[in-house]
Amino acid sequence: MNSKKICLMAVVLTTLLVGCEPDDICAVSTPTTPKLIIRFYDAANPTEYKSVENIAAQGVGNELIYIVASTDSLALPLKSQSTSTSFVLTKNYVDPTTSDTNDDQINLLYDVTQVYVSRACGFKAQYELNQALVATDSDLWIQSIEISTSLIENETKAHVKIYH
Amino acid sequence: MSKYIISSFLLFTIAVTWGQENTDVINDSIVYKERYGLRVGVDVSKPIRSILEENYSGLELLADYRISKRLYIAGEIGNEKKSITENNVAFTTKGSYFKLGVDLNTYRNWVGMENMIYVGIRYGLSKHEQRLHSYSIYNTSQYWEESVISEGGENGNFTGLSGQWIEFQFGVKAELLRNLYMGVNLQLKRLISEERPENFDNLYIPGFNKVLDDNTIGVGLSYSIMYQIPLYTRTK
Repeated sequence: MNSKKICLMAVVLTTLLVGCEPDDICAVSTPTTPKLIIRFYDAANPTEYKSVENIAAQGVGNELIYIVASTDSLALPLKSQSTSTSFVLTKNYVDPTTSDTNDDQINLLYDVTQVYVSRACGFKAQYELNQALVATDSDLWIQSIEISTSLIENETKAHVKIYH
Repeated sequence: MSKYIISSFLLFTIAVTWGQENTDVINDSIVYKERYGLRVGVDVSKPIRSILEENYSGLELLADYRISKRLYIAGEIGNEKKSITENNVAFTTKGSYFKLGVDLNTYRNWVGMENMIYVGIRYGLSKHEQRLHSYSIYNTSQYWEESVISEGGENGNFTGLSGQWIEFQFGVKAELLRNLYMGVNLQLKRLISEERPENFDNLYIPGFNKVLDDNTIGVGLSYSIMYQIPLYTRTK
């Protein structure tokens, strides 16, 4: 084996090996920015969950409705580059012609901490919830709102309770 | 005695392949002297990449010094600047590094030739800084369509960073002309400690190269041109 052959072989080999590099894609399983978890309770019996029929959640300032569901819990995305987010929660959304349709607006005020996650995922937001309020209107279906966990760093338990 | 016969046979082969014009090769080699010296060079891949790649500039000088028949003290010193834009972070790392260790030649040379197929081990140390240019706050919901943060926030320059690693090299150094060598090696590195930026991470370390999310393994490659300053010869 002469020098030139050794060189050529080494160049080819190393070039082939270095060609393999993993992609950096943020894995679904990585915990990133958590959503706000709301649970609905029965105002008459505050320890019991009570689901809301066809509730629609739409962010104030957003043309799209985020979700429509009959459920006793909602997971809503908060704005991470703002310290407040408002949602309009509409009860009985499916049939707006019935008199039961009712819009209530909730306002959430919080502080944001930006936390580094990884090369693939970038950063995530964590929230410290300061206030959860229901905007005044003439016909409220929400009787009261309270913060149960102010630090929003995961989605394992409810952060806000709504009684209706 | 058998060694002598084999060597002579090999010499004969060289003489045949190189032709008649090069008869002095035989005269030289028959003395059986091996050259010892300091070999210095440059990693040519880095200046070439500096020209071809917009987001990279770097330079590396390397040297080795022969201390015995098969063992060399070897080291590299370099400087790199690399900008990387990922989906969710964009940053620039710049800094210097040095690596020091030994190379073990595993190749049995023909008489008069001084090529190497070697394995090497290095200790590597970098001093660098990293600037975060922009990032996004990763959200599984795109409902609010939030933009990339390219000003303020966590953006900024993180100084006083460092990395330390152990590196294994596998490569060749082949003499192309008398005292002029070309080298190629593949490097496998393992990070052993690092000084990280606060609320961010070392995503590139000069000399170590790309740092992955889920492990501490790094890889590298070097193409070098080296010149040997012959200091003395030692009879075989």
